[in-house]
Amino acid sequence: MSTDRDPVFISRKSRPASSSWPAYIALILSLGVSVLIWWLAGKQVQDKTAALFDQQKSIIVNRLTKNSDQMVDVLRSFQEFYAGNVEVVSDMFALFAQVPARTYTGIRSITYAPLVTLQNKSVIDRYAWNLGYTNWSIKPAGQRDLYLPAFYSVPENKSRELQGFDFLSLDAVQSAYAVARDSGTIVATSIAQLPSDNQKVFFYIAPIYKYGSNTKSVDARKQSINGVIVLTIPAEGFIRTAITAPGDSVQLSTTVYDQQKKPESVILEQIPVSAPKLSHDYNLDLASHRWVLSFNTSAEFGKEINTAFPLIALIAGVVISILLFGFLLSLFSSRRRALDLADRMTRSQRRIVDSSRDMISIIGFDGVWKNMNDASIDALGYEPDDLIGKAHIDLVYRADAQLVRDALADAPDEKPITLEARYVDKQGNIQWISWSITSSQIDKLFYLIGRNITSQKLHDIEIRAKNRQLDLAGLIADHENERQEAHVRSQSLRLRTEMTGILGFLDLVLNDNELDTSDRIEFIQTARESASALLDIPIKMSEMSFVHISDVAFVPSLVGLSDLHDELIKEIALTIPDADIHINETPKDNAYVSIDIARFKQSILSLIRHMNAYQKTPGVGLRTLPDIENERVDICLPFPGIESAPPAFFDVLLANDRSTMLKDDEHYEIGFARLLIELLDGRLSIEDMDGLVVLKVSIPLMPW
Amino acid sequence: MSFTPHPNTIVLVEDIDTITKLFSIILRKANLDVRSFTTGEDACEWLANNKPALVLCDIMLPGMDGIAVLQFIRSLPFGNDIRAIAVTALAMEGDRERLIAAGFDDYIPKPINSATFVSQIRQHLIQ
Repeated sequence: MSTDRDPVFISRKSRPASSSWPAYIALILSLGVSVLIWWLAGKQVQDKTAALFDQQKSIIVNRLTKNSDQMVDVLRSFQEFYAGNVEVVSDMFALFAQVPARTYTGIRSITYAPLVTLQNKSVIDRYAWNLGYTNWSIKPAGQRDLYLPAFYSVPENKSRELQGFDFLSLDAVQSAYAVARDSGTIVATSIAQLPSDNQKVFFYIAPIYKYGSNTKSVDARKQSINGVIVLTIPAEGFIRTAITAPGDSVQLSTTVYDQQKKPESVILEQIPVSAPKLSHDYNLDLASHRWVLSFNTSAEFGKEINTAFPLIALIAGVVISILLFGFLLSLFSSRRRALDLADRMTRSQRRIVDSSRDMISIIGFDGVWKNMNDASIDALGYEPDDLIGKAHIDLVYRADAQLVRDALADAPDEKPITLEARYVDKQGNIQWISWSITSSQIDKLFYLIGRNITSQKLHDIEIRAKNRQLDLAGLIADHENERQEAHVRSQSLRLRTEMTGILGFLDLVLNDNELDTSDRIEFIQTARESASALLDIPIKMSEMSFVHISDVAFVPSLVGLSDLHDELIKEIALTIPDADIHINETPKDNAYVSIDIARFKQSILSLIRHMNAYQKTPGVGLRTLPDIENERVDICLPFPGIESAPPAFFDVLLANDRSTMLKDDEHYEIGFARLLIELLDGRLSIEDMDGLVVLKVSIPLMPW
Repeated sequence: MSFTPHPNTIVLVEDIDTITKLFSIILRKANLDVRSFTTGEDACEWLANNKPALVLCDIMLPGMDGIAVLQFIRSLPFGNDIRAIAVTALAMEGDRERLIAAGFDDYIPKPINSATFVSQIRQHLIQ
């Protein structure tokens, strides 16, 4: 048997892949997602960190800027003050300057430094002395083209030593002064150190022009410069107030460089951590002077930012990926196990199906064989390749084809129906199959489980035939018994009758004394005659017939229709030579019947004889009419000389027991013929065809 | 319907000549008139207009059998007045009962008992 047949005995959809590669795909994807999340989270952390860094840098920068702007505003107010006054004396200056000096603690001093040339230096000296500045002298001494000595300073207590100091003696001031003078703007200077101490300071310089002078051009400004207002700002303090503040959230270490980031330019340094998260150098221009701010994040920076989140997300993602992988792997493994189990069950079922002695087959709703087991193959003789894909109905014996079609068409869903049908096997033999058929609308399949009941059917036919033979034997026996009984009765009657004569006459002879001799002789003679008549009674008794087995034997054989037709014609012609026989043509169908031809002819002729007894002129027709589709052949015997069938025929045809058949010889012989015909699974009937009384014998054709 | 009575006549219906001869001899010796018929039809034709004292009738007759003859007799207006005795070789089990049930007044099997034959008939004549 082929093992390549698609096992469709279990109804299922197409089998999905049993491999576990999707689990690995899922693992890779989930790990990828985890990495992505980690990257995104890290980026977010970075962005937050950067934003915080920027924010904190901005705080410092803004503070410095704000502080610087405050200084600039102070000087601007002085410029406006001087612009509105012809001359600003000490008291006015002090009064005006005290407010900002007290307000802004970062201002070391606010100083007015008039521009002194070499030519008018002595004038300024004398002026200073006249004002009471007894220790006045421009410091550092020496001849220079220009001087900007500190003339008025506020607060006095912090700036006493500053008095007379020539700001232009500082390189930082020189360049800044020139810019301020020419631009008319307030300019900050580089870091410098006052000679009085080592404090790093820087100056804001605001140019003061002569009252009412033209300052619209650089040259005009150069010509009209009167002096400067200088704010002396302690650099470190100025910076510290910006980079640190009470309750400050800034977590940066800031190093401020003057103009350029060089070690020698450091104004204020906060030592950064060894590996700051972020660093940035920022160029801050304050009053036209550049500082370079080097920002580094401190160790405490970004503590509020959950920098561990990306790692946590990554770890969580990896864990979830592994769990998901494990779950999917187990799922696919379970699925694979389930599919393996299904396969084993399928194989197990296949073994059961293949080893089953019942025929198990599957046909589709399209009527095509889909599958079958070994028992089916054995029963039908075909190999699976011969049948699978072919129409199931092709194997059904033609007389049962419509029955099968109707049964399958009417089969309810999922409810088994039973069906017996004949199939033609590969050798051309008829196989009776008894099916239990279940239809599945979902699968569009019929599931058939069947048994080959050919032996049983043949056995049933044989039993039926034997039962009919028994009926026949019973009929013969009853008839013979009746005949025997009648025979014995008649012989008994004869015996008793003759004995009556013998005994009666002898009694007369013996007892009647008045008889004369001639009477005596006559009576004795009569008695002797009666006695002689008795002598053949033993012979008559011995004539009782016996029923032989040949009387009830029945030996069927295959006889072709044309042969049967010809045999009947010959027999009728022989047996009823004066019968007017009308026959039809010899049937041409290649069909056969299974009959005991001798018995059959005997029955037909017996029936014809009895029908002819009612005709004035013996006449009979013979028409052999095969009905291939219904597997029968009708042998029709029309009797043109009869208007209606004799009563005995109807008695016998309608009788359900043998008593009617034993009524007389006519009934008996018609009944006997009927039983013989029924032995052949035939039927005897009387019909009216075309106005003629027709005796019809219908017998089955052999399936071929 | 008119009929002629024959109070001393015994009708004998029997198709066997030997039996007819025997019964006639025996009955005449007993001073009884005997009118014999060989067929039931002939007997019925006579009985239609004649009323005998008794009918002795065989059963196995050709044509109309003894029972049919009895039925004819009983159908006559005076039929029930005629005694009918079956005299027959039918002596199997049940024959007697069947014939009595059919309407015969008595049953005499063949072969007859000569000693009692006449006395059995006379008893019916007296009744």
